[in-house]
Amino acid sequence: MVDFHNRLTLAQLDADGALEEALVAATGSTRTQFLRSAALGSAALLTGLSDSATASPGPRQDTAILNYALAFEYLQAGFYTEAESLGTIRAMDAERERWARTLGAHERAHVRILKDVLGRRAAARPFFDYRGITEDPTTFTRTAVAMEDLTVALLGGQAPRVANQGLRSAFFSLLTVEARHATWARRIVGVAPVAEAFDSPKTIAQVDRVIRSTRFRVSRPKSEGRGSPRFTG
Amino acid sequence: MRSFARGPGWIAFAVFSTLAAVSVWAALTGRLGGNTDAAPPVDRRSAVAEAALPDPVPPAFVPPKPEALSGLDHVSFWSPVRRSIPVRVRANQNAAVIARLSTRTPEGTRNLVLILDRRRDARGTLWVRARFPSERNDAVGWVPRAALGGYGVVSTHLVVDVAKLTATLYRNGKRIFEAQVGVGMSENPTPTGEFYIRNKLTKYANAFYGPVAFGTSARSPTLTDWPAGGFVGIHGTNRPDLLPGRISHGCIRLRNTDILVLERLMPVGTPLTIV
Amino acid sequence: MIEIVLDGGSRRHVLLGGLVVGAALAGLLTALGRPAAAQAPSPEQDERILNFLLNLEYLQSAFYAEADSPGTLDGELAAFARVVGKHEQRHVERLKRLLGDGANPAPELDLEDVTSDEDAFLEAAIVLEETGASAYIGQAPNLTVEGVTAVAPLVSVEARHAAWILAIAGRNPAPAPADPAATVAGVQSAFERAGLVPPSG
Repeated sequence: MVDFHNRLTLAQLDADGALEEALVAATGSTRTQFLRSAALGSAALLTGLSDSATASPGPRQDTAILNYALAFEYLQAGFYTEAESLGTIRAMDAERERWARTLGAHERAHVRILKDVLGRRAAARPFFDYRGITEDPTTFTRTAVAMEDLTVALLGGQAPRVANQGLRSAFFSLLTVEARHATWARRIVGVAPVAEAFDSPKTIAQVDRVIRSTRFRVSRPKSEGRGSPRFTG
Repeated sequence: MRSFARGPGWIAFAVFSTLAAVSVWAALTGRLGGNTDAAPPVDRRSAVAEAALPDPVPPAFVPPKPEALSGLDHVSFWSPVRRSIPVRVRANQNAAVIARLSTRTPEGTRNLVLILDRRRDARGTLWVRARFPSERNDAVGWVPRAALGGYGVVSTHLVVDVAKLTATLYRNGKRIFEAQVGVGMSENPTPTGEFYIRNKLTKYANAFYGPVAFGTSARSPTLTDWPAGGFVGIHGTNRPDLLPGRISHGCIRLRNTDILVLERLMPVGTPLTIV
Repeated sequence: MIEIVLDGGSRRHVLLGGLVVGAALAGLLTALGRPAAAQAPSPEQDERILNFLLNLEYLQSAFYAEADSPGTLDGELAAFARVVGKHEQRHVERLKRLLGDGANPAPELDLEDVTSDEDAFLEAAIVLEETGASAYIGQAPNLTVEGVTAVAPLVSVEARHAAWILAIAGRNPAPAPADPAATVAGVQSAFERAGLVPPSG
């Protein structure tokens, strides 16, 4: 029987601290340094995404919002795909396995949706280091739960800012799916499936700070060189 | 355990049509067809909405079918070495050291290892069993996960047959490329065993190596004093007339046209089997 | 035409209430006139949309209040009805506050049949929550920025409710990678079929 009085916090979910640290940062702690580069892309990705009153709605801002959402979906899709590819999901019980597989397929579909909508303006896929969290069923599950709730906060915050009606419709269609993901996940881990009557939106700056604290996004390792080869020949 | 049973109510809520040009008023009064001149009183108790509302705006995409992962039998993972670290014979801080990993290759690229397995030690630290560069053809050992970076995934596999003098590239288990090769002469043979592609060199001007050279994790068993470690490369050649043949110091040589095709098809991190 | 997505992402066209609409019926429906095209957002239209959404919340709130009588529901279903009922009541209050004097009054509803036993409750709750979420998705793009910003926190919660009740029912809580939108007519028919509102006319 699920304990419905148990309110969910990231700290409860995330035993090894990556997202707990992120939550503290997102609530304004001075512990985390504000880094120059964005967590989910270049600093340019954050340009034009200010949630301030001076932001101007329109196609340029819509593109920026979509690209940030795409970066986030890359992160999620990569997370589930890596866990499944490594065999972590196969090691879980049947219900959790079904949940994780379904969500992975959905997140990959979300990446395709946003890439299609953005076309040439779609940001490239960043490189991620999930730091072992995808290699253990417990850390994977806890982090997935937290990330799904964070996606709801991101999409819930951004969907109303999308100017184009067709794009806004698309955003709400994705928002509700992420909300289903989050609720399903919470029920699986045994916490209140729906804790609040209203979901709180987060600004992009807040979401980015959380993601930055996970240190999931890393630079692509350099594997191409230019010097003359010195192999044995 | 419950399966996802679909009842009729499930379909009902999931589907709505816009082909039906049903006005809100008509829906409320439930009149299908016929004339709509006379307006019966709207029953407030059944009214979902009394006034005309705009239809939903179609979403700006066509929902794709969710796809399960496939080809997992043929994927392989590689990871960059984030910090210089000893490789141990077991997943244990006190186990014997069998090698040391550096963060860079002699070519200045990031050093990589292939990921084979994982395990937590008694203290809960995650370790990874990795294949690393070595003159031995069974060079695997354990390193802490934290010493490595993000995982790259490949679904390709290169097989070089030193007897048949061929290089064959597979993707998802299917053969997609094959070429004749030159391999090491008997005094300096190409080592056999399990290895991987560690880096790629381009934009150098050295016709001996052709237009592209791949570095592998394989090292010559004989040229142990070779500058830069004596690693076996896979590269083009300015002597295609020698192929196929046992003519090199251990490297695997392809005709330049072939190495350029291979460059398109084979990412760094691809496992390499030399038989 | 809106592309409709069912479980597994396969697309079906022209489905009204789960039935593939035959040509004859489609023709009849078409004879009724053109749909109201998407209008530019306006505060006046916001009021009509929010009242539509308020009607849905009234229905949900009354449904859960009715189901809350002791003995009807057990275990997680009872907890669901209690928690979600509280949420829907707060949704009613928020929408009423947004609408001010323009808010519709609460309708009189007869929900005894659908709350009389667990199976009826379960099926009706699924329709209520799924339809609610789809209705919000459908109208969100038609609202002004102020309007959509105000309702966004409710939309995801409706979807959460839907996922929860589906999970309780042993069904897929997230049937598709993207959720469909509902027309007002679709909402009406779904509710009628589920016995939540009497057939109109």
